[in-house]
Amino acid sequence: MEDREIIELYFERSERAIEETSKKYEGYCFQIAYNILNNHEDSYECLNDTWLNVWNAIPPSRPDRLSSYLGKITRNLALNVYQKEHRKKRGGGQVDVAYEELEMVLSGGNLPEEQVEQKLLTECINRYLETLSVTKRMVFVGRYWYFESIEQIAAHMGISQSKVKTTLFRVRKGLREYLEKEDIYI
Amino acid sequence: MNQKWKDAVGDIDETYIDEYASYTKKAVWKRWVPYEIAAACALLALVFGIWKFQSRQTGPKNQGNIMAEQETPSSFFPEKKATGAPRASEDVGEPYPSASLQPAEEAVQDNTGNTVNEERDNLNNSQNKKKNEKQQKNTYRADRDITCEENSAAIFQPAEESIQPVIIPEQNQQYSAKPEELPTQKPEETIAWNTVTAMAEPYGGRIRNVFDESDTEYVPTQIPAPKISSPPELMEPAGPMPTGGNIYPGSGNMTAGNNSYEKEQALKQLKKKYGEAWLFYYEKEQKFTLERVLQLISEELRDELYMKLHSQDMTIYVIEVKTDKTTLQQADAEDEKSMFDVGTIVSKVNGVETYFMKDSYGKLCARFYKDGVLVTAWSENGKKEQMCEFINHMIN
Repeated sequence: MEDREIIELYFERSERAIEETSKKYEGYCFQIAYNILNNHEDSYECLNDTWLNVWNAIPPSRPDRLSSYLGKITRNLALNVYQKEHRKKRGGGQVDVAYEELEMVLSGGNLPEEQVEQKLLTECINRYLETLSVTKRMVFVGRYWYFESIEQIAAHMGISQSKVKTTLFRVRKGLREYLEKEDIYI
Repeated sequence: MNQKWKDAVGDIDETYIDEYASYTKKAVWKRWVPYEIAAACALLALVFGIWKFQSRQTGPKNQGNIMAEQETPSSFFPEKKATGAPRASEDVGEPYPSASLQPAEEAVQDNTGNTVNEERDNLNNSQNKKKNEKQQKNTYRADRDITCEENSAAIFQPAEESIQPVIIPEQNQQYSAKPEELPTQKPEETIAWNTVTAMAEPYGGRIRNVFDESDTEYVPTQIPAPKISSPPELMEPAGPMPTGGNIYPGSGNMTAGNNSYEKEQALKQLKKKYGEAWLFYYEKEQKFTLERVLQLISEELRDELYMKLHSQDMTIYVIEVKTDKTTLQQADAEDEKSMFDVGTIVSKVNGVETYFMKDSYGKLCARFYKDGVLVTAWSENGKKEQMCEFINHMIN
């Protein structure tokens, strides 16, 4: 089924929309979640949360690309799960929880300035990615968006692991210089 | 800060996200062969295939066009010289093709003032002279050889007086003799002509008198043409019935007309070709050669018939072909039977089985001697295709 038809099903509030979405994008979303969580159960739980979030988000939103829309939701959910798991591993997580509560107030909240700053940073990264070659760009996206390992990227791209590492190093260095040129200091 | 990075990278353009996802979905060979290159290769292959197909179909036509293109400008129009005076037609502004449509009469002057045609003629004349001289030398050598052969022929001439050639002592005199000086003997009186006529006698004597067209005394033997139109009555084969072991041509009743050397040779050849399968065609008591019979039967049937007969060790004679409806009715009356289904044995006398056949062409009946000796066949309208079909059916 086409993405447009699936979205229409969401707008019709048909439960079949979730079924069709799951049928078409389960593997894609699972891979994203598994790259982050490295756990089957957590990944499937993340997927269920993804379908629920999409059901709640559409409507009113109407995504242009359903695949990347689902990917973003899965990624954010998986990252949240990952943070929670790490917090538990660090011994109760009270310090981290307290720090994160403070961080939410200080810098990680929903302040308009921070939102604008984040948006500027995103646009700057997009412009930088546009200057890169396709191979470099895909290596960067595979590593920092899909959270794939060096081995996976090398296998997907058909290049050696050392080349992936070198490419990532040069892309990071280039991004740093680009951001400094744009007067963005992190 | 960490969260800011995560969010910033997570919000990158969806194009890049899809780009990576679609790339990893592709098969390996598709990654290395982009769509544009694959499409271009396919298009090139298609164009090449079409061109190859068209060139194969229109090959001779193109060749002809090339030949025509090669002929038209260079051979029909004289080439314009790079050096030399301009042509008069160009001076007055006449178009080139209209002035050069007749190249043979056109005179193009070169630097020396001579026309090109004159130069060409001079060159041709000199070449012809050289050729003539060469030919004369060769002719002289040939004359010398002929003289030697004649002398040797005169030495080793045969003892018979009838074929002695007239030897002229002087060289080449017989070649330079005028027509009035030729011998005025009649062809019949010349020894050589009589000898040739005698030698041709076994072949039917069909030698044409080339010396005298008005000579009407000699009438060559003519093979009578077959007439299939109106046989008077049903005829039994003349003479004793041939048997399987005594049916060779030239021995006994198979003789067709004069038992000449020519026919014997033809029959021998046919015997060699067709083995023991012999077909004879009788009509109005006129017996024809096997060759004529085989002409009446199609080639495919001939081979097939031979194969059948050869495999069954049988010999079949087609004795009669009656074409007339009256004859057929007579045949019916004789057998006291009307038409039967194909292959029905209506009589069996002394091992002779008679079959009848009826088909869409009309009535056909036949006597078929099972021991492989005789087939007598009648056809209502006597077409050879029907006969062939009939015989084929009988054999099958």
